[in-house]
Amino acid sequence: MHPTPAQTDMTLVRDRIQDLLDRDRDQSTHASRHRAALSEWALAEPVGADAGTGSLLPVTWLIAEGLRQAEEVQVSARMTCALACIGRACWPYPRGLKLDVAQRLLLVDPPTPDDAVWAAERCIRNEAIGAVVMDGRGLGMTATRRLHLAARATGRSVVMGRKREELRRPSAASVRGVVCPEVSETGRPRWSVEVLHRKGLRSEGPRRRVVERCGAAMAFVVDAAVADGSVATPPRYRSAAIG
Amino acid sequence: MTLSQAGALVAGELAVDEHEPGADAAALTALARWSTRWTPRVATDGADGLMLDMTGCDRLWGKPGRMARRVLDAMDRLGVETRIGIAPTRGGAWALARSGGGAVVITDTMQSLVDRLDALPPALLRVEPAEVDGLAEVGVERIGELRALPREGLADRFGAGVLRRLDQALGLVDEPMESVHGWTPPSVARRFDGPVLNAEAIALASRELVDGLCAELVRRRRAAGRVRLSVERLDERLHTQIAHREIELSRPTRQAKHLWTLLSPIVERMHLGRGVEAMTLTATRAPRREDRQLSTGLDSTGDVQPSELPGAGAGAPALPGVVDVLSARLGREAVRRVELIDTHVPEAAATTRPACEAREDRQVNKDRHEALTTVRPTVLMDPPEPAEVVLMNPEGPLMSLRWRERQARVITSVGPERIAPRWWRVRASTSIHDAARDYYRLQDDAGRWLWVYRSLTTGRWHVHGLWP
Repeated sequence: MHPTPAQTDMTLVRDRIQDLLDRDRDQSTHASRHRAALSEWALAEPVGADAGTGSLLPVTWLIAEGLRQAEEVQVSARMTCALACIGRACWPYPRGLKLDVAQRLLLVDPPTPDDAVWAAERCIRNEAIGAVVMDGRGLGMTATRRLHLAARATGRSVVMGRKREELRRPSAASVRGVVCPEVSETGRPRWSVEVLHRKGLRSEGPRRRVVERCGAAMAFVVDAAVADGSVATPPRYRSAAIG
Repeated sequence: MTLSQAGALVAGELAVDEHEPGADAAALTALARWSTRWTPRVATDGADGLMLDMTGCDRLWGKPGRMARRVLDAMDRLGVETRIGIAPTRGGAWALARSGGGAVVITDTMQSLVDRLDALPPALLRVEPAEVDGLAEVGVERIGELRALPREGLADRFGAGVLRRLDQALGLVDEPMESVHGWTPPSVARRFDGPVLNAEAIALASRELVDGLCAELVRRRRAAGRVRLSVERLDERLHTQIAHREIELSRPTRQAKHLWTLLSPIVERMHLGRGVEAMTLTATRAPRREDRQLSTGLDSTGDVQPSELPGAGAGAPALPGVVDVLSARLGREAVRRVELIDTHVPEAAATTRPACEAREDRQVNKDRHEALTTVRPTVLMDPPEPAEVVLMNPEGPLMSLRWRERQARVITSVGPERIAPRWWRVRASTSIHDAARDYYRLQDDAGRWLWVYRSLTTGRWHVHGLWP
């Protein structure tokens, strides 16, 4: 049974998104649902070459994914955790978020990429922070490796926004994907999310889902028709074989 | 006398003020501390007096008369009616100030003081009223008459207090003065035997300073809200140079571990010059913090570490720790929290403030916030970016949008939502935002959702937000 837009239960939505990411995971690694890691997401079609703040990164998806990860930490640790947003490019407009989510944001504006990595690592290692969303444009393998290891060690996830072309470069990220806006008829923003690379995949299965923002909690529902496979929505962008 | 009785005796309206002895004493102590600008030794005297030891201060302020006038003017500016007595002894000054001889009465020498005191009543020797009555019974109404009496019988007849006060006024007995002290911030210092260039030694000394400062804070029942590290080092020309570095904490603490976490990166990157000669660690802001019981789940230093997060349960981890660490390296302006403001104007409805600023969250209309959340973008453009829109007709639906050199067909258009300016600010500002705007949520043929508006004043279109 697939959730409808009216079903905004966060647990259900979380399971659907997790299902998207876990579909092909080896059963031996499936025992623990929450596996903290570094994930990288890029916007398929950034708007304008000199686009302003936030328009080069899939901010909505990054925040939603960060909140989802933070909620997993909250559920397991039974406490309320903050969400750290590192880099102005991934600072959301608070009025577009639920009130308690907006009040849980810690916004960091590091002057250099090195400072950003340092800040992200400090945030990951603090138990008051559930997940980190960061602008990872321009970071190299060493930085991503450092963050990935820190995430694995502390159980906190890092959701990183990247440029589309940077997904071809070496990275320690466990998950790399592309987010692309999709035309929707429901009046709500809709995206297709394609996982290009995921460590631990056993087989090549469907890696693409269409998700739609649902309600005020930055929750997403997986489009039922697409999840069923009854409607084949071809990708509108050129998917690159990466990883 | 009751208040009603007093009211009956006074024609017209009776001005009534509560007598608050504690507040009066605190104000007098504050005035004494303020007066340390004249001399380092200042004490409160009774309920309405200050005693200033001016010994050695003439080099700073000139002759006693000149200084007295300056004190008088300063007190006058504060609105404090003042009479000043200057004498070689404390008792003598007390008597002269209350003798009614004018706003300022000065005696330079002991002989002139004795001459003046002789003409004054014994009550000005600070003796008890009962003792004054006893002296009056035997006809002693001047200090000179008291001095003429044989000393052997004075203590027996009138009590030891009379003789002691007389001797104090005449300078025959020492009278210690318990001066108030201005607040000195908790501080610890370490001076090396010579210039030190060894980073490990500097780090070790810094750590010891942190431990020392925390011990001092515990002793004084305070916690550090702002800490300053001062380093005295030799520059290239071997001249002593003092460098300061200050860190601000989001919440006062006296945890050595936390302070060292903040300070260690500063020490590591500190420029040592030709060698460090001394280091000082000062808590430049140190609010009072009482000790707490350990059984309440607090740490051993009594620090309270509640979470700032809404809905956080007991025992929830504290955010201030990481805020302090980030702020210490990146600067306080680089680490921020969201501040929501109850206004309908989008760009003013949400702002940020430094996370280390301890400040209560504003009350936000939650229902209104939640109602608008789904129709507000994830990213707000600042400033809004101009766009060109093609309409089917002047008031009709939107057909296409040109933004950032890209033409897009509009598939869905939801709106308008009219947002009026804040009329009470329109006159004070000429910002482009100060015009009514009609907002639309648009979906273009690429699936992007944009939040665009048309200014009702200029008719121009802008993209104000998006859901990337």
